[in-house]
Amino acid sequence: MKKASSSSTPKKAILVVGSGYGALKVAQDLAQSGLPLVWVAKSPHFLELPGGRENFTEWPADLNFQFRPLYLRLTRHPLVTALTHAHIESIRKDKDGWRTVVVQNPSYVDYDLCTGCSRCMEVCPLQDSPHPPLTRTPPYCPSRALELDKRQPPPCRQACPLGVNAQAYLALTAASRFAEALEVVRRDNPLPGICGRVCHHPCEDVCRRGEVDEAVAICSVKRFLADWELQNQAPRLPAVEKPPRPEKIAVIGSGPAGLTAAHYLNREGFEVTIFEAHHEAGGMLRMGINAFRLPRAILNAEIQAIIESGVTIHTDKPVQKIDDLFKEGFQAAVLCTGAHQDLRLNIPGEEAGGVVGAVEMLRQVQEGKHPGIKGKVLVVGGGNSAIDAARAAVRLGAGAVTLCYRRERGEMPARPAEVREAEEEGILIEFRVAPEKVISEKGRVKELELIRMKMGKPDESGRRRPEPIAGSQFVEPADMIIVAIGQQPHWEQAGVKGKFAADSSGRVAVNSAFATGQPGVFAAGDVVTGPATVVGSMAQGRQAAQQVAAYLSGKKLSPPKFEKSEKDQDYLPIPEDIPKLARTEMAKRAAHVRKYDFAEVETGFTETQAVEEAKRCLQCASCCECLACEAVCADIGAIDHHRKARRITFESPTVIVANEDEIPDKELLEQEGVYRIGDFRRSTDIVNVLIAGSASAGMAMAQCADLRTQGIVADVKPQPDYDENRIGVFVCTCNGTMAPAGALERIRAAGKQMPGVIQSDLIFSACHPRGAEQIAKTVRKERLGRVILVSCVCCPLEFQCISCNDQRNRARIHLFDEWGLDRSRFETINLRDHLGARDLSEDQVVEKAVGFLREAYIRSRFLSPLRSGTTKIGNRILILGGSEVGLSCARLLDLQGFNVRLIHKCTLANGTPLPKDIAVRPTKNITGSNIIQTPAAAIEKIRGNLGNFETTLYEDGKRRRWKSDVVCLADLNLLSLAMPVGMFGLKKFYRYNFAFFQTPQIGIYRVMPRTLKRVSPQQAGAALAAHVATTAAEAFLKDHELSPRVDPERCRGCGRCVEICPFDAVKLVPNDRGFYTAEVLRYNCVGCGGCVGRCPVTAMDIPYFSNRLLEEIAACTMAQED
Amino acid sequence: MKKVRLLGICCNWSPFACYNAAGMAQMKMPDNFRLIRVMCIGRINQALILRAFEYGADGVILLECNDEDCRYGPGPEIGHENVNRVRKLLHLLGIDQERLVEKSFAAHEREELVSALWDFVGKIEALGPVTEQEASAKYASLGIADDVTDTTRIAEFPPRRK
Repeated sequence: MKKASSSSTPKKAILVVGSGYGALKVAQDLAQSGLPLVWVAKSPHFLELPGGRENFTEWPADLNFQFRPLYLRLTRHPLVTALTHAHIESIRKDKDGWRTVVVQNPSYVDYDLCTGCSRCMEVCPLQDSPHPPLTRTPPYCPSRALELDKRQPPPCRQACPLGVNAQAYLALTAASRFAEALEVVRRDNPLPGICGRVCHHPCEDVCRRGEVDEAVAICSVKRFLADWELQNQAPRLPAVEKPPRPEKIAVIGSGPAGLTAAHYLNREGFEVTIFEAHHEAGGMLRMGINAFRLPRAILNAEIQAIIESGVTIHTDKPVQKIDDLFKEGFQAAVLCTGAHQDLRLNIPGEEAGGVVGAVEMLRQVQEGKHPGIKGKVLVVGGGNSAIDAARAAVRLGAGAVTLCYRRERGEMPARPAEVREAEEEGILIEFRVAPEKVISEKGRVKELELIRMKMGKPDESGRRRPEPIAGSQFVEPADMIIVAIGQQPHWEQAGVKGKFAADSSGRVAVNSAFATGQPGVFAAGDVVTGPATVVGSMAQGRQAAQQVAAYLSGKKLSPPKFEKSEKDQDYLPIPEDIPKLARTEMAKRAAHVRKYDFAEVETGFTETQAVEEAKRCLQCASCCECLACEAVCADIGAIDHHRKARRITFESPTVIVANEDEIPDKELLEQEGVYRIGDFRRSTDIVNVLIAGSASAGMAMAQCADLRTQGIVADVKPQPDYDENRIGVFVCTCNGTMAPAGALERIRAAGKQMPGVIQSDLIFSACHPRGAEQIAKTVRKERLGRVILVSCVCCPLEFQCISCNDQRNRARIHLFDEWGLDRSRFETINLRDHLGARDLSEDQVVEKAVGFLREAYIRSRFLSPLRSGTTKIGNRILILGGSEVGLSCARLLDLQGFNVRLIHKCTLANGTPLPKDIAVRPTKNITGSNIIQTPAAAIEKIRGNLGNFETTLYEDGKRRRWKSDVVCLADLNLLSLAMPVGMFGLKKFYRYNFAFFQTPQIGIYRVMPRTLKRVSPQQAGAALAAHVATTAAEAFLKDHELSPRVDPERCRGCGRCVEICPFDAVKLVPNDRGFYTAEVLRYNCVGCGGCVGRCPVTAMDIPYFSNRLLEEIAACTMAQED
Repeated sequence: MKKVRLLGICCNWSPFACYNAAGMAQMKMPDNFRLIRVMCIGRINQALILRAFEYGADGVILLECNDEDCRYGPGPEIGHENVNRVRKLLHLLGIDQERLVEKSFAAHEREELVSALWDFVGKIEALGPVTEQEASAKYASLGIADDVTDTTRIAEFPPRRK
């Protein structure tokens, strides 16, 4: 939760492991006694109970409320480094204690910044899914902050060479947010319309929906998105955001690799020029793919989009010499010339007329030349080019087309859907045949001699190697033979000359950074890999672009690789009862019609089909990383999908274990200096757990006293004397979610119109550091003497009540602690939570808000300074009772450097026998310590207050008065000597503060008999020591800010206030005229205001809730409704 | 029906936690209802409750903690005492004693709080606004002259604006 300091020397702090109430208690005792601690828990917050709450016998329904103030104080305590979502990687003992390495998982939503405005939930496309990735912290955790469930990247995204985020665009499509979905596609793929048609979609092969029924038709959905855009407007790529760079880059070739490389270089700010040898751009997309698969309109539109985004394309411009480019001022060149040369069959008679390569033939078709197709056409090969050539041949008027493939159907590299379409169009496929000889007549092909094959043993590719069956030759008549057995690069033939090498297949040799042998020349796509897929070439183009950018920036990029996730969480499980739903297939034009033209075969999804198909996605990774939430959180900056895990090392003198499952090695528990807070699973009582927490804190403290920082009395800064009549109104918009923008503006304007209001501002978020800064700066600049803050903050006070939450607390910390504004000049109203139902009209919202604002305005007129002051506490501790409890307590406090005085055997001076159940167990003196020890004494009375107790006793018959700052009643219940009987009934207050060892008189501590039934005497002593240390180590006690004042002119000394105060905090003191006047004892007062209500003459008054203020609210709120 | 005007006085601990939780859950709460928050219901004196009626409230509800839950000890007991006394005074003033309601809650009882508020609103709406007749009829039955009641009538105290 908190940022750990990034200093190189490991931080020294006590390690607390695990969540739950026991850990909370430990943290309270350590932090409040001035000891730094690192608190590590696997859970997302610290209230997750290791055994679950079912295991507790008594569970008060309101218990979690009672822990809220404590939780808020501790998680924002400056000495607490609170690490949630964290685990211990290693822990080992060295000379300074335990050296621990903690790994905190990435917190994608920053707990310190999240305002809980829930804008992210509103825009999340998966919010209505069965597993919404964004959730609020559980209701018992006092924060509005959100948590984000993120898993490994989904399989489809990992399978895509370009890493296109299929899950995100499916999620957005399912929510009918097509424009955003397309934006997601375009982040990684500038050619969605093209890929939506011709991609071999490896994403679908790994789709987990296939485990249920069939893979989601991801590619078709992408095609739909591109088509949907094209219906409304021409495709448009996102604007280049990076600043322009002076370097010029040449890209040679405008195929998928060239276009992609050019696009990403353009996005980096470079000036990019593509040189294309052919008349039109597109490379193999145009030359090797038929128009009925990839309509030229789509191709042209997407190329045009790249041109419009800033890339220059020169067509009909073959590059002769790369060196010339450098002479022309280009600083780098990317060679993406592809693989356009058909491989030859290398069989006799191949030179005959009528034998053409597939790519050659398709290029002729593209260039508008009829390649002379007639009669019977044989196509050799089984890849996409073969199918493309065969289908083109059908359309160009071939009498019959037969495909000859040497392996089985299942091994054809062509997409099965296309093989099916080809067969529908009447193309026959002969499997397991290979050409042996072309038989020609008059220089033109007449027949092809083929041989049957059988499938042999698998080769290194895993496929079975076809072997010819001897004597199975047969002859197939042919008017034309199209050879489609593959291509190879032919950049040399294309005339590109440079100083780089090629292998036997004509492929350019590049290193891992896509650099060729010639400096500044890079290569990507088929020219590097040999013929491959469209998306593979694009991925190459993109990676090469990154390398070029790194090269020109003088940086070195590590070889590109897919970023492996640090989070080893699995995908969301597939629900067992998920209904099976068939995959949607695109409609196609009928085979008997389509085979006569080059119009597109597949017609694409309708909107309904696309949405329904997208809904089939299982959303494997929970969060789909569409980043819609990051955009709405831009001002707040809490969400960052790219956060990394943190590794923090620190030194701990001691370790306290609250949950044994969270430590890597159970043997650790047996070691010295390691304490554990009971076994949660065996303890059935929450009080046991809390006392055990205190006990381990007490023991740990004694070993780390040198880490202690003493509390510093906060300097009361003189507040500038701002003008009381200058009022400022600040309306928090809660990142725009408080109310509709129009309503907020009207509320602000209504604030401005109130008399005396000279400034009325909208704040984007009051609990955000920048929001607080805006308020603080305005208050100072405008010298505002009264400030009304309209937000979710209910009060400006320093303490936290059971209704508070982290956001409200944070706003106050920023404004009053960090910026040092005067909290008593603030009136805050919680508008956010009390506007009521969200379906209110704008008028209703404004009416309600202005009502609240008016009340706040009234209250702001009657604010008076809060009580401030401190009581000093020294380190003198008097322990009465030298039982095991007392000794344990004395020893532990002595080790921490307190000035301890121990009376071993106590009796009562008035001779009253001690209660039977509290046995006095005097034990031997403690040797070798600084404790001042007295064997026995008879106690007469204990008087005073925290920081100034006076104990009257008889030692060896002599009456003595001993001063101390704190008194511990180790096992004698001498309480009646120390305080009025009327204070005895105050159990609840202390129960809610979880201070089991405190007495109603602050500063006197005791061990109750029932505590000794829960823990051993030593542990009780340790817990007692922890409680004493939390008070005494702080060195001062702050006055309660709501402590009342007495107006001596009005007080008539009736004593009703004294009578009613349950904390003995009011006493009557005589004034110089002999009359009695009430006086509030600052160190005892808890600010309840009981005495104020009781006072018959309104001589007492309490700041923030003053008599006048309450009356005015009552009066004015009633009056305004007339 | 004329709109009634209601005031709630709420202890900062359990009832406010309920109120706050209800607000955060966006539960529907009455509109004609204003809340004053205090640290403890023991903070309130009888005068404030009477003042509310003086300024024109038609009903006052004290929202407090359960007796045994008071953080400070005696708060709810003081609350009960105040309510009993103010009810007697209301009776003397001729205002229906039912117009002052006291309710206690534990910190998690937000539904209970909201339904108590609606019940309270329903009850006071059934009684209607504090009328001249309501006050004067009582005075008449006590044999006090009309002109006396006129001058002491609650509604005629001028609202104490700043």
